[in-house]
Amino acid sequence: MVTIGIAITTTAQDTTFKSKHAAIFFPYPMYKEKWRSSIGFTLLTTPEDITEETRIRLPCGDYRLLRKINKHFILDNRLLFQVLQNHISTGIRYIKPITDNLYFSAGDDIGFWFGYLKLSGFNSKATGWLNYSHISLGYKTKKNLLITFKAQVSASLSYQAITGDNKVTIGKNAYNGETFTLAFEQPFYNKKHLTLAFSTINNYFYWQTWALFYKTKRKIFYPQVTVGFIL
Amino acid sequence: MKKIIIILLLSGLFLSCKKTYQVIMPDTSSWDLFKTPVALPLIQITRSAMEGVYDIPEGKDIFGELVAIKWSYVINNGDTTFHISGFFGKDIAYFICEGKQLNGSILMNGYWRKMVSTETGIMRLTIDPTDGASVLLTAAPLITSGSITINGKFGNGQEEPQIPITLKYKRPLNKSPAPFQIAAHRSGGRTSDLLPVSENSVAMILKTQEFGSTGVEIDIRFTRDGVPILFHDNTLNLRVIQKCGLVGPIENYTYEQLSTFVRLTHGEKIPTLREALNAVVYQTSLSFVWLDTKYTSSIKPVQALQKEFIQKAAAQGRGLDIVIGLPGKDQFNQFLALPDYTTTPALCELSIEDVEKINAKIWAPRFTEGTQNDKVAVVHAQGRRAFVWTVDVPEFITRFVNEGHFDGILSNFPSCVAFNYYVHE
Repeated sequence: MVTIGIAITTTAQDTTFKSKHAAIFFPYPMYKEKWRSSIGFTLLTTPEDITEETRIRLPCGDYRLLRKINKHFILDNRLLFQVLQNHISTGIRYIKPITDNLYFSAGDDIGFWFGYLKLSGFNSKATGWLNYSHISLGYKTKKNLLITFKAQVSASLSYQAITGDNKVTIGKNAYNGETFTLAFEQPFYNKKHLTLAFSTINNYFYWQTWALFYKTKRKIFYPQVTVGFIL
Repeated sequence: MKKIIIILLLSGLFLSCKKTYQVIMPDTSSWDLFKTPVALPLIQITRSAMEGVYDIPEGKDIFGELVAIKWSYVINNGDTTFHISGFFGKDIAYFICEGKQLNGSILMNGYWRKMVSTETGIMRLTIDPTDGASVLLTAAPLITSGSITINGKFGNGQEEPQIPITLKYKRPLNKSPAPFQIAAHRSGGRTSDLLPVSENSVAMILKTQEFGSTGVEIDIRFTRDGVPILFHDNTLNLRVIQKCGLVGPIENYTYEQLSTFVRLTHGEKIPTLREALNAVVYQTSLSFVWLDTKYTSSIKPVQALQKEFIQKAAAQGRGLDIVIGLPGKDQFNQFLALPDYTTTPALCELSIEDVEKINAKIWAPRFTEGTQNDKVAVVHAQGRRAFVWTVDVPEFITRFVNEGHFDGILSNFPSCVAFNYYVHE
């Protein structure tokens, strides 16, 4: 910790690394470009606690758009879409190079999700606000493989579900759980960068499951894989 | 290509990760006072008088403001075992205890559990003679608000109970003019809710009244040799059975094979429908059975068992409704093929028109359509009943009980329905 603290006080900049189209998870500053984006998908496995008989793998579209504010700050925007349920988030990330190979970031995002289901006896819709605070530590190898470890905690700010004429609103802020992600980013095909991330989500509530089961006080484990093509 | 294969394999492996959840039931046998041989069972009059809605002056931060207390019983090999259950208003919590009297006091020993989490622990409760036990143990107890105070302690996990709890009698349990069914899913409870017995087992049927159920929904499938059994899933899988080497649809196996090789999660055999109904009629006081049709073949074998056990229950003087559940059009058409379908008790999940067509006793819409009081009124006007399924969100259960006009609620959390129903004023 002390080592990191000392290292943070120095500013490093690896000028040989082509940062454009390089990284979404990796905490690399946006020195020259203003925008950075990626398109891909996430795959989340639901646990037996929810879907019982079949462990469903829920694919979800994933669009990320980063906007440079200055050398150390970026705006991190994300849209996760499954048509019937979607999640949009925005937040600020502070990025600090520690050495030529080691980078650090800390950020906070606010997310809004909404879903609706109106078929075969279902007449349901739900919305909610979530807050995500996160830190990331990135390591760049000599072959420009970008390895990022991201730790994130989330809080449920509000939750509202409506089925038929019944409405449930939970307005109080509550700790929702933690997510740990290990992400790999590198030039993959035709100089395009690919993101591959593995996340372990330990949450009381995960927005993609709102229609599947009752929100409990039992933390549920979800493994998630994210694949992204950096544009 | 090599990279892609590695990535796919790695991703597949990662996505297969799962976590095992468990609730370790506390050992409640360490209260020496309760085990003393001079402690006597409670008589029926005392048990009935204890039932009611109680305030929780101490312990409300954990369990909420009120608790509904009710007794239940099961009969095993001619012996009747009574349990006192308390249904709390917070976190779908409950306690389940046995009761005895000792030196003029009433002792209750058991455990508590929160269904929204894995929290559980030992619960020990006492009514001292001066706190109402002396009245409760008389031949004609007169109970009024504040006349019974239950004091006790509870603990977390296997810890000795240290946390105080006090319950004070407030009023009798709510009882609606028309019977209201608290029907429990999967024969009384789901395996995934980490209960001590397996879903769709005889053991669960015998346990579910402790959770507040007055009825059960059971899932019926047929073995390869045509035996109706209780099983929910389409295939044998480790969610509901122990490792045994058998895989695939349960319909691929004979009853003999299943009986020999397959054990449910907590070691029970997969019961036949006959065994299940036998348990309901002769071992419980359950008053409603919903035979959910998980098959699309002929309903006749199930109809025959339904008739047989309705007669057996009547011979026992039991008011027991056994209805055939019709969840979809396939089952509905099979039901229409029965020669005496209009006189066969059925529960139809389809439209009110379909309900009328087969003269079903019960209309049962999905909860996601809301309270639908106008449609329920139509059904009531026809002399039928209306149940709603499967309501698990506590806020929705409260709404259906307080504002809906349904005659029964199917839930995975019967204790939550029981709390809301019994405390309703």
